[in-house]
Amino acid sequence: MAKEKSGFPSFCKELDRPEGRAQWGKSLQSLSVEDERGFEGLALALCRSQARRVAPLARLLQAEGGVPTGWRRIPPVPQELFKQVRLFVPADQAPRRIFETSGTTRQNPGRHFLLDVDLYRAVSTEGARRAGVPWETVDLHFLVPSPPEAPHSSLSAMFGFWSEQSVHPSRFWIQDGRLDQKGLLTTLSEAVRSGRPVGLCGTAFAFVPLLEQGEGSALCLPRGSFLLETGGFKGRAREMSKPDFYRALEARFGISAEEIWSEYGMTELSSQAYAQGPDGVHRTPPWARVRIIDPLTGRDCLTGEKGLVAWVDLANIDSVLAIQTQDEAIAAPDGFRLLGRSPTLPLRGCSLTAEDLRSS
Amino acid sequence: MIASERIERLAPVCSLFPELGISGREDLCRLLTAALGRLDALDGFVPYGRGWSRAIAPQRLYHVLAGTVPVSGWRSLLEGLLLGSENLLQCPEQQSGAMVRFCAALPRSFRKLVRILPSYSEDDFASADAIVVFGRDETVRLFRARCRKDQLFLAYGHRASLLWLGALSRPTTHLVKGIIRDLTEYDQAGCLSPQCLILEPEAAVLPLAELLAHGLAENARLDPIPRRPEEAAKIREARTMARALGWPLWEDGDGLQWTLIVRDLPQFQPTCGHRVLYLDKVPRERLGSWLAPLQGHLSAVGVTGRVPLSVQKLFWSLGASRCCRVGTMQSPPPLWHHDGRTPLVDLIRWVDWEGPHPPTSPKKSRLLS
Repeated sequence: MAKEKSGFPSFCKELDRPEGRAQWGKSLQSLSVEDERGFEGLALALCRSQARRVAPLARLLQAEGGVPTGWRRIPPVPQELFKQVRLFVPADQAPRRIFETSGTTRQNPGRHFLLDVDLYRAVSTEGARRAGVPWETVDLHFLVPSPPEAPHSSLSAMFGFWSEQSVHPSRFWIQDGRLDQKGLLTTLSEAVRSGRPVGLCGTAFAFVPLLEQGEGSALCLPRGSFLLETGGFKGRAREMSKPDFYRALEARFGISAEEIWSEYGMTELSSQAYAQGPDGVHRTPPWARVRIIDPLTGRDCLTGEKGLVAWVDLANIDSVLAIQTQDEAIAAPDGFRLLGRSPTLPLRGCSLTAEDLRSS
Repeated sequence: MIASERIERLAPVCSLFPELGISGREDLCRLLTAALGRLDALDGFVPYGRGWSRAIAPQRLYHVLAGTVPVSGWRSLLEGLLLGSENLLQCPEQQSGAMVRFCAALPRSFRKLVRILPSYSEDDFASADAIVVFGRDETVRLFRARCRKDQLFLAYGHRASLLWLGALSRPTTHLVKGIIRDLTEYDQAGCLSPQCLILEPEAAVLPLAELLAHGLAENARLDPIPRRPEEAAKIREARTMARALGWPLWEDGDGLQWTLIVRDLPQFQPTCGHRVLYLDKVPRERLGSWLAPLQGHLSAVGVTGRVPLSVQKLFWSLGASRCCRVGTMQSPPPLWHHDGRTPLVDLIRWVDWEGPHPPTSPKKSRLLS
């Protein structure tokens, strides 16, 4: 890549081109978790680059006195902003892929515009690999719609990448919005009989009907199998604590809690964090970092303190690298314990809220 | 106990809770008279047309109260007691202290008619002949679905209020104090709290914002409120959004007591509350489309000076039930048509007696009550 006077690559143009993006991907994958300086250099360069074309980020930087000297000072953009404006870096080019948030805010979804999914593909496969999720060694069953059926779902896209890159068979089990329970359970039973390990991956909520249907009986998935859940239950009619959920999964699928993975990602990001087991700490890949911010002070939490998750994701090259979520977590020495969506404010009584307006 | 006796006994309680906006005996009399035509219609048959009629109140009311502000719960209970009904109050934890305080102030004879429930009780709900629900539309739908056909159902769903100051050219300290009063009461959590302040483009927006900022800073200095983390998160998010979108912003930093944002949006969006007030410049000809998301949800509109007829009509068409002076948004008068309805009327059922004479003497009707 071309070098700027500062010594950092000139990203603006390079990251609009496939070769430049591939080179950037290689740079990210060469980072190690301990490489604080390398991460910082790339983060600040990307921040500077994005601020040239993303006005909201430029304004936030201006309010903070310019591009900071450390990655922790990069102002995170509220996740909510993805619902209000188009945050898209590449100039004179149209996004080839748009991912949209789902859930209760369907009428006004957050939109993540990507020039291409090349980097998303690279980091979402490599990130899971580095976390230790054994997705390449088993048959994969996804409790989500396939990418063609849900072209705006970033989760479907990610599982699609896993499916493409795995040499083992894989299948998406949600069609027309319905989980094909019978077909899935028949296939899983066959896997149990033949001793072929499987990976069962989907939203936490998608597992619920499988748990309900099989209450009292276990499938006893073959050794080497794993489960991967994402999303939690917040905002759904049925809520279950994580320990209860994992116990139910263990009982239903006959595997140990350590073979259950929790994925934490979001539409507006390109990278994911993973945790193993019910007490597992979520860890990010080397090209992404998470800050846990105390909303009362605006400062980083110390280990053991609760705050809100803010991401710095160097793979988010087409929008903004730093994003503030409303997800709660407890800061840990080498990651964070995800608690889930910040509790909704106390009942607003009869005062109208944004969610009310969208759902009415 | 007949209605006039109930009024006498409830009147002192009203004066202890000025937030109710009911000054005492006279207001209570007006409330009953507005609903029934006369005070004694609950006590026995009264002349009606060529015959007689009697108002029947619910024997047992089940109230589902909001978690945000205590006053709607107090008012609902007061109305139930005024009608002589027994009252079961499903009261959220956040308001239970305020409700206990209110109940403790009631005369002993009324306390027997009140029971506070910490959560939903299916048996108690089924035992009531009338249900009153305050809350989000989702809550209202939930309880409506649980209602039997023979249960009277009255609901107050979600609403939004706003300030409309037109082309205000010279904001005064008096006006600003009123706006601050409207905004800060109940930490902007009630359905009468202004979610935004609408001005026409030629209005003196920046001078008003600066005066408001000064007043809010003073208010926060004199009467700061503690913030919870979830409130802080919402406030910070609103501020960062404003900065990112390039909207002028006034705020108090880490105090998180107040925020003013001059917003530029094609349509209304609610605030996150907690004293985050949006100032919106909306030309009169665009006001209808700008407020369209509020269709059916508008509650109170705080105004100053003359309000053009076209603007008035627009507010009424959006569902507004109240237009009031700035500074009085949180203090509706006793006879306010909450959500457009005359107080008490929807809780009453009428029985007619056809004939030249009523069936019982007034003395007998006392026993009936």
